[in-house]
Amino acid sequence: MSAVDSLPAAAGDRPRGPLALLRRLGPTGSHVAALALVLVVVVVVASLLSETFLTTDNLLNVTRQVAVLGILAGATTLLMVSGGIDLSIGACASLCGVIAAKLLNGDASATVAVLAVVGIGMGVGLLNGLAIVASGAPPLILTLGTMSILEGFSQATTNAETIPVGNFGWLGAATLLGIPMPAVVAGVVLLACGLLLRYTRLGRDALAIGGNEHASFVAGIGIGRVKIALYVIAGALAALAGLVLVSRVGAASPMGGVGLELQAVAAVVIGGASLAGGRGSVAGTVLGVVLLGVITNVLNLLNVQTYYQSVATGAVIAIAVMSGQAGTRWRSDRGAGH
Amino acid sequence: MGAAPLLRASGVRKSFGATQALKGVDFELRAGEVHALLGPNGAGKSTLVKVLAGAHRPDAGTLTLDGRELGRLGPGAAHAAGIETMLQQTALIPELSVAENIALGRRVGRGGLVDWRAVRRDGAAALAALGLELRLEQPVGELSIADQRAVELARALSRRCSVLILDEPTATLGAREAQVLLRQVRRTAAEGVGVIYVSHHLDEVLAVADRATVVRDGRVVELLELRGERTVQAGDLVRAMLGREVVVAAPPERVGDTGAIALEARSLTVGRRLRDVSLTLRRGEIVGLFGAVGAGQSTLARVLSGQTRPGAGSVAVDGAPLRARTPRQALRRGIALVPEDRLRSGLVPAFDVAENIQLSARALSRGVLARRRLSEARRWVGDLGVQPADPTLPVAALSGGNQQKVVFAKAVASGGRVLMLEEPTAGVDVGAKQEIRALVGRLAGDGAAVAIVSTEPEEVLAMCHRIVVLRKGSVVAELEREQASRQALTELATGAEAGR
Repeated sequence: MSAVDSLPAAAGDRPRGPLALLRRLGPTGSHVAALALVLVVVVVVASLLSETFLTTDNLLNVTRQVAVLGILAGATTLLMVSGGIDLSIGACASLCGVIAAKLLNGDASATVAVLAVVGIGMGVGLLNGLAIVASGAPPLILTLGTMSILEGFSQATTNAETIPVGNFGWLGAATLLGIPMPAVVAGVVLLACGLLLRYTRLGRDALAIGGNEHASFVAGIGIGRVKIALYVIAGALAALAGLVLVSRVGAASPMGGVGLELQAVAAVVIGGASLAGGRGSVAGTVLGVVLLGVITNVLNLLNVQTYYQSVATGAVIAIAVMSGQAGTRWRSDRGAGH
Repeated sequence: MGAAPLLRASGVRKSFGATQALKGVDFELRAGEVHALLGPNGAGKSTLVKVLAGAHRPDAGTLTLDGRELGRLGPGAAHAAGIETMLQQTALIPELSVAENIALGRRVGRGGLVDWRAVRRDGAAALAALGLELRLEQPVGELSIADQRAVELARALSRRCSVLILDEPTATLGAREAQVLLRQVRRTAAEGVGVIYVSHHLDEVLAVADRATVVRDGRVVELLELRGERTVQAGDLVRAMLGREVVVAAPPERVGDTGAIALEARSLTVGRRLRDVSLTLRRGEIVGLFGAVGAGQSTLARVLSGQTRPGAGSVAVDGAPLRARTPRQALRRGIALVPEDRLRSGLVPAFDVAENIQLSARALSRGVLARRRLSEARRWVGDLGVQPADPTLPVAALSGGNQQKVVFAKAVASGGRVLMLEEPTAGVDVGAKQEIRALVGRLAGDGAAVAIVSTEPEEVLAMCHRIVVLRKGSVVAELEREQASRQALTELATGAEAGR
């Protein structure tokens, strides 16, 4: 996927040299380019450290492992470019997975279960969006509250136990043309998010609101309905992520999605989005997700203890964000960004 | 009155980039006097005030306080030297009590502990000095704005300041409250403080000030004794502020039918910012909404463009009532706004020129896809002479004047038939100014109703057929262009008429 939602390149008189290239790419584009370079280096180092890393099986495995995170990161990208955030999507994914499992075990057809669960996800998103728009409460804290509520519901529904699900493997365990189904779903979702941001009114309005909310209001954009629509989409994608997770694992855990929302935020910020909104791209998010996935995978292959994996992943997030910030400063010092 | 000046500035120069804001200003302030600082917008008043308050460092010139030269004055040093500034907005902490606010920033007590008895004692003394009867324990946020201003005065006094700078202190006050504040300002001066009083309201200046320094184009053009033998009239002050009459371009001819009423507002009221204002805009007519900063014309524009809801009154567009709660609803009825602060309210900096131009039109359109009509954007860019003429450039890369043209294009491209233009040529170079004025004339000629909101007499004189003058939230006059002059407009807007 190319930088589908970065700014169009500037035409007119074009100076040459690396600075001019950065200027043409824009702040988002040059961040994505730098991140791609980092990813290449990490892949090279990984393949030197582990023989199994650069095998088809392992790489497909990586895509399967990052798929759920990828779906949630797509939702987070849409929200974050508009200046919003939703911390409840991880909990929403677990709740939806749990409910789907109950429905499937209670003789509901897969279609019914999927539709019901996606509807629930959209309902949760609608409530989040309405509450944020009506009250003006900061989304970070409001969705933190929703997260706790949804976690509570999941635990109550299952008595805090994992529910095994049979006969629901097509979404998570199957493959399409050799590619794991979760990866196919995540790819479609991320492509759709990219197209949405680039070509639809909703996507452009989201970027406009994140870039300058007051100017967007004065320009006549219906700020409230745009925000609500974005939270509804995020809820639907959270439900989808929950379904993929249940299908892949073959069981629904009430804590299955816990923490994924923060990993998604990390991936999106690594991908160059600004927490303040107005900046970010799905291309960057994809690279952020893959980078996190590759690092986890390599540490697994090298049999590093999970405790130290956590340390390493945390360090990667911190370093990536700091260097992204430094890059932004460097560009603006030289007048290449804005 | 003491002969030796308390504060003296000599030969002060200050430039911002290529613009010289102060071109060698001499100014002196005596202890115990109220000294008004007057001048039109952009004359250099606020720069001078900021230099005196230590917020700006002068490029050249010296400042002496009590005969001692002040070196490199920063805000902290100005404070320590006894120079206090009171801004248009109150700088109190609403949750804290009157006494605490008066003690704020000073160390009352010992070893990190607050000496509450000293806080109350000092607070009571400061209130007594101004004859204020306020409860020391009351949170400042519960006081009226007038009382809050008074608390600020008391605080300045309690800090034993020798120079007090007041910048439009009555801007948020009603007429009676302003009178009370002016009395308190006199009392402050009677305590020996030198007061610098910056205001657009000449009636207030005549009531409160002993002397007035008039600044124009970065220079002091006149120093007037207001309490001398010869009584100074408000008209004299206006003449000194404006200088010789400059030739102002004539507004565009009225073209076509100017009969049809496009917008009618009746008795609009917004708190004390706008009181019982009625306005009629006709097709083909350009109307100026003129007043000093904060006189209500911006509030009126915000109400009509759907950004602020009026407390009372009604608006009708093309004869049908409009109750706009958002700019979106106003735009749907054809009311488009070019906001004054283009960076905050006009542009999405990360978007390119084309997308900024089409932001409003797209917001009003239907459909899922964001259609990008580059050829249309190119036409706008060409029509308005946006430089560089490339609609795919990020709007942040454009100069201020060209950004303003983009905001302008956005309002017109949305299909606006009633255009509210706030300071449409502010910060725009001469060439762009002419282009924008010509475009406004053309739009009116095509049947748009245009309102120009401005604090610059030249701006409304050069563009408008009819000029409505506001002062302190009310309409004080409505003039045909032929009857209006800079002198007349400025006298009306500053209350010089009322002061006669």
